Amino acid sequence: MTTSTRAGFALLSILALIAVLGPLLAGSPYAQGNLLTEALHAPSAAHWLGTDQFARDVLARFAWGARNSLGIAAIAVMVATAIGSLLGLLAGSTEGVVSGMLRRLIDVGLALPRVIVLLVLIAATGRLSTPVLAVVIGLTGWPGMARLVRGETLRLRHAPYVLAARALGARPARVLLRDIFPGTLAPMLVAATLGVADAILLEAGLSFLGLGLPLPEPSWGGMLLDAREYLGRAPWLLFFPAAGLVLATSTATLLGETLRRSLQPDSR
Amino acid sequence: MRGWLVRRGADGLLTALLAAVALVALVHALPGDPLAAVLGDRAVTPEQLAALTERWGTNRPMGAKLVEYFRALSHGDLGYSMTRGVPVTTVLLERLGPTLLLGALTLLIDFTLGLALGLWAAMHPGSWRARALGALTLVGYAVPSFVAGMVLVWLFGIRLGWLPVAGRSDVLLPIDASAWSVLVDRIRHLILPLATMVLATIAVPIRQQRAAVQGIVNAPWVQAARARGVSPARIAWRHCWRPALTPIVTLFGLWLPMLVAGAVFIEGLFAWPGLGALIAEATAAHDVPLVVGAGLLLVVAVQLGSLLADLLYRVVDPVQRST
Repeated sequence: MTTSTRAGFALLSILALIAVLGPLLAGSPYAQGNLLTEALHAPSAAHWLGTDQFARDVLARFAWGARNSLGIAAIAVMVATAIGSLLGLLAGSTEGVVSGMLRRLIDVGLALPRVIVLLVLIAATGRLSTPVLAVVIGLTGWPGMARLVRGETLRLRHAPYVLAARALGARPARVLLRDIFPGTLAPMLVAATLGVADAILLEAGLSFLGLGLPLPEPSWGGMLLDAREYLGRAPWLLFFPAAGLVLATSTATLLGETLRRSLQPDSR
Repeated sequence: MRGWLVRRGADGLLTALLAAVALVALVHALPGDPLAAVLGDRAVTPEQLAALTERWGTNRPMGAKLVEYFRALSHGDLGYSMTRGVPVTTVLLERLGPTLLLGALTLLIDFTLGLALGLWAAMHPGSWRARALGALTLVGYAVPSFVAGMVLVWLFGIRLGWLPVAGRSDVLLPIDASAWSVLVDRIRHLILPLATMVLATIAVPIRQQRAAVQGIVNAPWVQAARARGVSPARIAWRHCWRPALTPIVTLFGLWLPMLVAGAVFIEGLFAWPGLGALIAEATAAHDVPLVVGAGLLLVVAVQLGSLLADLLYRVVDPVQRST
């Protein structure tokens, strides 16, 4: 294990601890203290990360926000990977008109910036609930994954071991599922890990614009939105969610790069 | 070359058109009534509602709405903004300038400073400065644009109080201020949004350029040049930078989507009156025609960027030209 691998896994465990155990230990993220005497307090023994303008405990909101932000990203990446890999496999293994149509579908998906699709959806439907937001972020993430898996499938179709399986008389479906599909898993895993960072950023960005999770709901992006008005008086409102976001995205990037190096040694 | 350009252009046009249809169809296929979203809690009489439904055509079948939208679009008409009561194209044109200014300057800095830093880092592997730069670019990758922006606002706008944090110009500036002080004011307002955009994007060209040059820095022709006693600066520019340019050009096509995403999150933070802030405002107000119109503009821009990247790719890579 290299240093960056170790660092990646260490960061991942810290994040998992915050998101899984944090909410159990911290209090309610909604509970407001006395607005006159307890709002906007700097970090202290009573409130380790301070309090916000509604006298809520920043630590509690940070921990619950971690669960929301990371949970949404995890679901989104699973949705994107499932759809993207299925379409990619189909596009790479079919011939003629079907293959051309699938390729065009992926191109069209890539031509639509994710942020724009999400904003159009939110404009047309109104605010999305947490699980719906997670799925919708995933639904905008498939084109990149589909392009990757399609490319891998096309490459593997002519790999010697696949030709050998075909020569032995394996049926096309078997070749696709048992020989080609496992070969696409390594790059898929790398892309999915890197995709977690994108999903975290999208959710945080939308919540930061006030368009993601509805406001009393804790999320790191929403906490940053809360912090905007109080930057001068209460900079800790900015620091902790910012640190959480940076920690989460760097963990995903670090692990993704590590996986790439160990699973695809020839990719660099 | 001309045949290639025509084919590539037609392909991009078809993709952009299909993407546009997909985006518009998506809006109409969704459950939920855009009128209800715009009206919110306001009480309206049935007659008013009927008039609004008639005006915006919200109850017509989806196919009819699509045909009508694209027929109007073929005349350059994107419909009316639901909350502003003016044509969408008017609003978009108004907001295009500030975004282009910010985007063009970001692009310029990314592709001059970023490439120079990447080249420099690759020519000095192992030096502490190069390693520090490498660590910084990793951080640059991980820090979300709006987080970087807020930290800059806090540090330079509030803590140090050096720079204005919102808008394009100072309201207190006298109307008869000299051209010079107007320019200084404009530039001061530009610094923080521009620095945020650059911080959020520059890590990519630095890392790509470094990786590309590192693959070349010990190539036989570079060693031969060194053996001939060619100066290090000339080796860097003539023998390393030029062949390493090819992968950078592919980056160019990715750049517009990155700037778009950045602008959506950053412009609002700095009250910069551009397209990104417009899309966020329009989404919050559920002004669907405006969001879709701005979205279509960006889809076309992204396709143009990718076409331009392919074109540049063929210019810098002689092997590509023969096909």
